[in-house]
Amino acid sequence: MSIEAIYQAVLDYQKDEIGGLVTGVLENGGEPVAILNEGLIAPMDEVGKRFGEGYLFIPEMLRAAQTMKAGLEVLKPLLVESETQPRGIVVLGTVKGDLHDIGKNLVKMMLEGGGFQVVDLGVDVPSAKFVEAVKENRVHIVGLSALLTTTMPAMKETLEKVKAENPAVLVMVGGAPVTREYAESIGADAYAADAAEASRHAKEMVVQP
Amino acid sequence: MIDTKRNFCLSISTKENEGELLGNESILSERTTRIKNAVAFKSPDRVPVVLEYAGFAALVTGTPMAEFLSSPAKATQTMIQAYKLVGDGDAINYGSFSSYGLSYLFAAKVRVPGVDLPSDEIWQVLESELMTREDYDRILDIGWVNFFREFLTERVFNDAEPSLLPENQEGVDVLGLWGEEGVPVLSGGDVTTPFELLCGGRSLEKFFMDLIEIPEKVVAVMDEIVQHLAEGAIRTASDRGYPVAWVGGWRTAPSMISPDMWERFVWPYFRRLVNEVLEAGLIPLLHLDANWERELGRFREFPKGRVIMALDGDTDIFKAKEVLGDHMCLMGDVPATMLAFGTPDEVYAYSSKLIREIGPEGFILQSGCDIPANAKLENVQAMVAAAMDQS
Repeated sequence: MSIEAIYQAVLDYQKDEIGGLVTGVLENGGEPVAILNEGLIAPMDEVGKRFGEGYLFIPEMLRAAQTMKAGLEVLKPLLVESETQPRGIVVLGTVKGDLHDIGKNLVKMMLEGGGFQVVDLGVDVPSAKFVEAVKENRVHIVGLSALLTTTMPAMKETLEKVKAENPAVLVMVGGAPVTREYAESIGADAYAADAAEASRHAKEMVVQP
Repeated sequence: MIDTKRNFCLSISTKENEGELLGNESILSERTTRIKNAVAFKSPDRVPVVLEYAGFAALVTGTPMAEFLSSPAKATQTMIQAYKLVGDGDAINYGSFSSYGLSYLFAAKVRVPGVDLPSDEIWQVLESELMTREDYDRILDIGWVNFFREFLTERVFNDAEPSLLPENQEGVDVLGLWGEEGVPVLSGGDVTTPFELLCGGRSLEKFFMDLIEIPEKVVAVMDEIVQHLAEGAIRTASDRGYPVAWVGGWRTAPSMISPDMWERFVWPYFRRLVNEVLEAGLIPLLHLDANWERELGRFREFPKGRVIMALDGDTDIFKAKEVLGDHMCLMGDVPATMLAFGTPDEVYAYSSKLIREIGPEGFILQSGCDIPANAKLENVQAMVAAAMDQS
């Protein structure tokens, strides 16, 4: 049992086996942080890359994320003990008036797979709630999702209020009707066409010390 | 800058004069012929423009959304009112609307203004796992028709507003009402694939795991479901005199799943439904949301000049033209975002580009999917003006 086997288990979608593999490596003296970074997060980076290149699709991405999560469940208590910090903190939500969440949930999965801590505010989230989340957490990125042109204007309002609260917070937007041009017009820091792109941008936006 | 009002007014007054002389029946016939010629690759006198909307009718006429949805008669009247505000158009894609009707396509609950949402907000389909993995065996056991009836009653409409359920509402002569205005209505019956129904009922996340973990079971259930799907849509369209049956795909888009999965779980069923509609003598209108580029070539399996492919802007319509331009009538794809947030000049320019490059044969100008509820009236008028300015 090795970290390489854990890495491969994620890529092979071995959700039922990965817990045993992680336990085995830990029992052989493996370091939790190394298992996390090299055995669980690294293959999710590869999954994102393959998705972006058109070799993997949503079912495989979901399956890989579930597999990674199953491995992470075994590690979590040890990571908490060692006070391991997440890669970054992202607040995610679908804007006010909009109940759609599939895209947001896929983004959440890929961000967690990439080592981010995600504060998921759910759907129909008023701008005040995003601001509150920014106040309560050391947030790096706020991710806004909208699936209706009627709710897209709430993205601009939320962005302005979030940045008024903390100008250092970066805002990323996405959702089926949202375009790169629209994102630029409202002053968003990034636009993501899909979950893999969101994860890629998040890694670029949060520079590791 | 184009003056859409000026261009438009000229167009309207011409049609009004024609109306007095020829009657709406004649205009109806002329518009219907224009559309059928576009589908059949016969040179139309100009590229037709079709309007597709529901929520837009409420906002542009100042009708509260809840009121718009209160009855088929109200929805139809409001949509006709909206058409008159736009001023022209060769047809309406669908002539009435029911929010709970979406449950029959999505196998999901719909949140409705005035019931679950503030009365001025737009309805929304709710993603949740209403169907369990155990239900697959139940479907095989009692058959899809019995299962779906039970599923809708007990799990979808259990908290619905009874007065808004289609079976409790008085029907309306949609074709007749629009016909009095000289406007053809295209779609009379809707159908989608077993994949869409199961994905909606199970929720996307759960269903996609079913595809990986229990594929044989899913195929067995899909084989049962598909036998029962097209008949209702065909009967509705044929009995009432609609020329078109709507065949929809959104989560079945090739961009969502691998080629192997698409080949196994989507295409055989999609193809069967389209062929059934063709065999009934109707025009299948393939409403394809999201990105279908990878598999555009497959649509050449359908006979030339018999099918409409309507794209929503996610599939590159110019690529679709390369692959299917001599074979299948394309429809679309003025983007919802442009209609809501763009300018009349932008809409007119893009619509004209579509007419030039996707037309003139085998093309129908339309929005990509619905004209959004918050589309600016002048933008919709600009889209129509681009079509009318050809003559």
